[in-house]
Amino acid sequence: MPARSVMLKGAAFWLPVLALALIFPQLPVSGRSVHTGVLICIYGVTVYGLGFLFGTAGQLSVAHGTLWGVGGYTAALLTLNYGVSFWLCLPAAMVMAALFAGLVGYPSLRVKGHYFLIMTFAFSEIARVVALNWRTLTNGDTGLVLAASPDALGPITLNSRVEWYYFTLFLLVVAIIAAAILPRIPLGRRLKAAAQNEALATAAGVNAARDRVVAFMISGLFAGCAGACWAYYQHFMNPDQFGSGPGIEFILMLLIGGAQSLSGPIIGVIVTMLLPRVFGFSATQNEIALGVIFIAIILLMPKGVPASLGDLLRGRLRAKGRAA
Amino acid sequence: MSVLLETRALSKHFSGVAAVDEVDLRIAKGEILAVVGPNGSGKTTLFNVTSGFLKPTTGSVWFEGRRIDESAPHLLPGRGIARTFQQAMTFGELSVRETVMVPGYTGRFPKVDVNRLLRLCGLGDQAEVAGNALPYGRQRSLGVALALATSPRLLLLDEPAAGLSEEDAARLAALIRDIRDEGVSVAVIDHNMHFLLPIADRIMVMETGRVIFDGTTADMQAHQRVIDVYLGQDVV
Repeated sequence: MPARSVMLKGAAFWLPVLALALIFPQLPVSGRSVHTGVLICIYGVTVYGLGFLFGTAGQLSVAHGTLWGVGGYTAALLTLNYGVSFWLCLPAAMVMAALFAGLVGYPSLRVKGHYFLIMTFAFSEIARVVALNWRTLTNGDTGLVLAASPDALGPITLNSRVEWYYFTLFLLVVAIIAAAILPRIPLGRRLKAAAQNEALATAAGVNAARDRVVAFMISGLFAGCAGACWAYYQHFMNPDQFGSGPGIEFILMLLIGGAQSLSGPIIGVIVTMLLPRVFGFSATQNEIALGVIFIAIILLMPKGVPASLGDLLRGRLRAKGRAA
Repeated sequence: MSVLLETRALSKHFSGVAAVDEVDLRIAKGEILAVVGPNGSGKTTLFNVTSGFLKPTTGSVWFEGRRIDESAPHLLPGRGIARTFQQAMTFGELSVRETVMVPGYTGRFPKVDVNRLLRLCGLGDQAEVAGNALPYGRQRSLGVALALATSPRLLLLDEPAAGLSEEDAARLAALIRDIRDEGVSVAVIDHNMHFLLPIADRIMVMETGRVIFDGTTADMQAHQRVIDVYLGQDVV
């Protein structure tokens, strides 16, 4: 498809979605709906980072639940112990999450696919246990309370849900733009080539192992950013809120939407977040429902729901065309 | 002619079995070397060690006077050694053009004229086709184009004519001569003697990891052991 046509198609999808997102808090919606909107934006930032890693480098990670916790704890600890402003905590959390991603990624240099997934799962569990038992730093399972709201940054204040909504929506838009650009830069092209055929990429001069670590660190930036926002927005950090549990949930969000299209991750996040509200599921029912959806998607819609439905629709239209 | 690549007593063992056994290989600048031998004679293993994909058990590999067998394989194309693989390989759905542009994304190679390169390899009219949608023979040509995109001084081709039609094989032979005429040395593994003999300056014959002959085409055809082990009477 020509580049111009792709851009027009993209604009036709994204501009109405953005317009709707911008007016959403002005509609007659409850505060709880705006709260869900904030969570969708925060989760969305992480899932776009995960989507870049999976869609471009072919690496699926459970560790993003932990990297997001690293971001959250970095922000909370810097503020509580040193009085650092949220606006400095945010980049610090991103850098710290990226460094942790490098820490996990480096020993996993030669590991990919399922083995990488297992490594990230092990890392997540180790990090959760450490956070639970390193009481002098994390306050253990009691957690950390971040009572203060972020300082004002010029005209930007984050004292209400609506303000948080617009701020996290801005971060989500930045994450989506980054996710659109990253596969097109030389690193993204090399990652795509190596994900398809590592030996051939190596023969073309690509250092696939190093590129995978860099990709993991970049996706860690997304998770760290989201984690810092989450800690400040929820005013609380606890080891049970990160680790492999949220990591698997992020993977589920990604797989529901599909990693190959730019709209996939946000669709996956919205579906996962709205499911319990629409059907009135309890927490346990929701976990069961998500598990069933997860299995169904892996078996029936491996490209994600939107792409698989698109394929189905195109197939039906072709069949109808032939019949006519 | 000066030596471009040299192996010294190079051996590669797998579980104690010598796939390559004390091989002294020399490739001169501007030379086309054909490497032949029965299946399992160690030809591809020799290429894999020479191109850094396998570490030698003993011995060493030297390129332009520098030892290279301790280098990571992704660094060797930047030093001037490019290779293709025994199996046709692609980057999946990446188009022919995108495939040939991959080396450029590493920042290690001089810029190449992609359109000219694709025309040279007979892929000019398929630049936008996905690599995995090409016919088998064209996928092999794509492998050669990708190797050439690294602007090599030594090109290692592993069975490049396998699966090619006579016409495509003749075009590949002409391309290899053109590449050599531009100063690139070429080492080719293949079983198709009708493809190899007209283009090879020198032929090396391997059997069970060892070199049993190294010389000209005419000398090889008179070499009784090579006839017994590999050629058979009908080729001579």
